[in-house]
Amino acid sequence: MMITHEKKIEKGMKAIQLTCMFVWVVFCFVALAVPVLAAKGPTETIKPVLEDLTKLLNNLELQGNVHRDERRQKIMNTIKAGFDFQEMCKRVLGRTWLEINQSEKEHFTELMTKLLENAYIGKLEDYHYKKMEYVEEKVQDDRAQVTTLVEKDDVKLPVHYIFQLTPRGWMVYDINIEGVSLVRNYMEQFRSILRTDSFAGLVKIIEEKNKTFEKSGKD
Amino acid sequence: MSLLNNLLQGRFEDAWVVLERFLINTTLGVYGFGDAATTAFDIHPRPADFGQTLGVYGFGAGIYFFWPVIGPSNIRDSLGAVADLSVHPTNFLDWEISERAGYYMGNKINSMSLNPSVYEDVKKFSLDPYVATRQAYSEYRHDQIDKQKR
Repeated sequence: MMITHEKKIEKGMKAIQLTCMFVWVVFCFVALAVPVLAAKGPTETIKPVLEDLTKLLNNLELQGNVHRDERRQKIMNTIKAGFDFQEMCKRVLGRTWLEINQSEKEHFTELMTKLLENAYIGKLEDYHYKKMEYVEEKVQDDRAQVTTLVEKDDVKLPVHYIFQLTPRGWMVYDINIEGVSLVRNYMEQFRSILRTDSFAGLVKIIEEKNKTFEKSGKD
Repeated sequence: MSLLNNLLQGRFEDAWVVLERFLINTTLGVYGFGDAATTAFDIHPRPADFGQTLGVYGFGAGIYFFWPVIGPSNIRDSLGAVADLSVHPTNFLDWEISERAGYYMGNKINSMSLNPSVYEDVKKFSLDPYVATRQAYSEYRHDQIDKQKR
């Protein structure tokens, strides 16, 4: 039986519809899969950062007080590639973060980054560990934890890096050693200060602390 | 003390290690003054205390305080320390209470003197050293107890 003209059009339309649906499905798959395939996991993100950090700390050409500023600048640039200081500050301040404006947030993040640099970089420079193992990775939705074992003086110390998935990929916002969290420790200290002082008072205390470090560094 | 507390917490393998270390150190380690078990036999200490045992059995920490010389503690760990003292090896020697107290305090001061930079570091790293120490101690003890429950 000959197919009528209308039926030909109908068949043609169905073919176009199916083709469009197929193209749409392929497009969705590619659009969703490419970012998933391209995004590095938490361990793959932190590994090169820690390896670069180790190389910097062991670089003989950067050792000594003469190269101190250049060395510390490079260390901080390396750390910032994997650590989200703004997220760290948001968690450390808690509810107060929601109450301050964008300019105050940026200034606080700068101060806090400087405080951590002043407090811990010196210790980091002195800490020569034998090796580091990556022992475990746990991911749940947009949070993750990578556990490493750092060996020094025949003692293996577990260090946990806590991540959040951001538009820049997995970024560390907290470090936990033997159950002690860097973020929770500063959060409690700041909460204690904010009970009796304002946010401006807290900012002043951090500024003074940073000045103390700078003064002792120059002495 | 470690042996008893490891047994109370159900850590039988750790209890065996403690017993093994005790036997090696009392024979090769000049009655406990050396640590032949670690240096010669790579058997590392498995510390446990009664405060930890109480935590494993569900006792809450209670309020935090900082004992002079001894350092950070809380109600549970302080009661635990008293219990630990009652089974301390010096109780089985013919010593006066003042001699035992002097030995225990001497041990504490000795362990602090091995880490003199710890207090200076806490002051350096924190804006409020008291709160920083309290929070760190609380989280560390919680982690120790959690590990034993797993």
